Amino acid sequence: MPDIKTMLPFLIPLIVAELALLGFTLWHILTHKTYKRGNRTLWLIVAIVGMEFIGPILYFILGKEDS
Amino acid sequence: MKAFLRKEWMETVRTGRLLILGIIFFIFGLMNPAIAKLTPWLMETMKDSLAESGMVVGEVTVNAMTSWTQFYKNGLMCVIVIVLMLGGVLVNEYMKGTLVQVVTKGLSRRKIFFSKMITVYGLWTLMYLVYFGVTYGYTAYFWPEDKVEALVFGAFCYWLFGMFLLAFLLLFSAIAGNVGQVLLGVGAVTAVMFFLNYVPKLQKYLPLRLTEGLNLSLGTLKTEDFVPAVIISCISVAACGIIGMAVFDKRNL
Repeated sequence: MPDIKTMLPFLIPLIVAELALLGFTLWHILTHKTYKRGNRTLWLIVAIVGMEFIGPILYFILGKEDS
Repeated sequence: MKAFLRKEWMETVRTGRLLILGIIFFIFGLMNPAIAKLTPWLMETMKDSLAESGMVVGEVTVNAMTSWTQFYKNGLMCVIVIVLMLGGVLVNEYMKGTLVQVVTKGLSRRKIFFSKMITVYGLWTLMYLVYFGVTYGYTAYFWPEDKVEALVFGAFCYWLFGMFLLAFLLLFSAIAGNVGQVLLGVGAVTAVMFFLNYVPKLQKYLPLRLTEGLNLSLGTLKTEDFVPAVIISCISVAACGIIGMAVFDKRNL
């Protein structure tokens, strides 16, 4: 593995993007009462546990109610 | 019309489409130089297993060109993502019936269609700039001394290819009734293009040629080879716009 320093320029933006997406997802979950499936607790857990992009993406595909 | 455009914009932001698209394209852009940077290490780890099957890995050199090769390879993914994300831009509104109110309030249909066009093209341009910008920035940072030929024109061609498909997306949005039909239409256009690409004489004129910007940087193709495809794409974009508007004028909302 190339040492961590050469990879830092890639890692930092990735982390920022991840956190931005997580924040937006949490905001979306908390400001909506009903979901296509599941409930608020479920989606909060999914979003936080799978925060490396997969959780929020799952939420937007499966959980977000069409407005 | 300004109000309608503003509504479109707010919708894109509120539903999070802008953020999600932005992040996706950002990651795509990031991957190109990252893969280039990781290639020597990947080869190093696979050396032993490759040696067993008789392949010998020599010195692997990566440079700015490796990163740009990835850029053109992943470009198609970007186009697919944007087409999937924007497939419902008009169709979903027919289904919800939200356009009926707007029309009865007196906004002309042409203006609606035109606003949608601006939104779709605007989003694609913005996202493509993110994609290009990130790759460009990182590549220039890691390999400052490497010069790659004809970058901007090659990238412009790819952008135009995206515009070409999105023009068809809008045209099919005016004709079709649901997202599936729109995506099918765009898929069919692409499939026909790939099929026609087997005829050597036609290759020069197909918009598919626009995705081969890499050959421009490598020097295997010249700028003149792209001109017919560029012209044809521009004509198709304009034609799709006009036909789409005419169809949209007549259809049931």
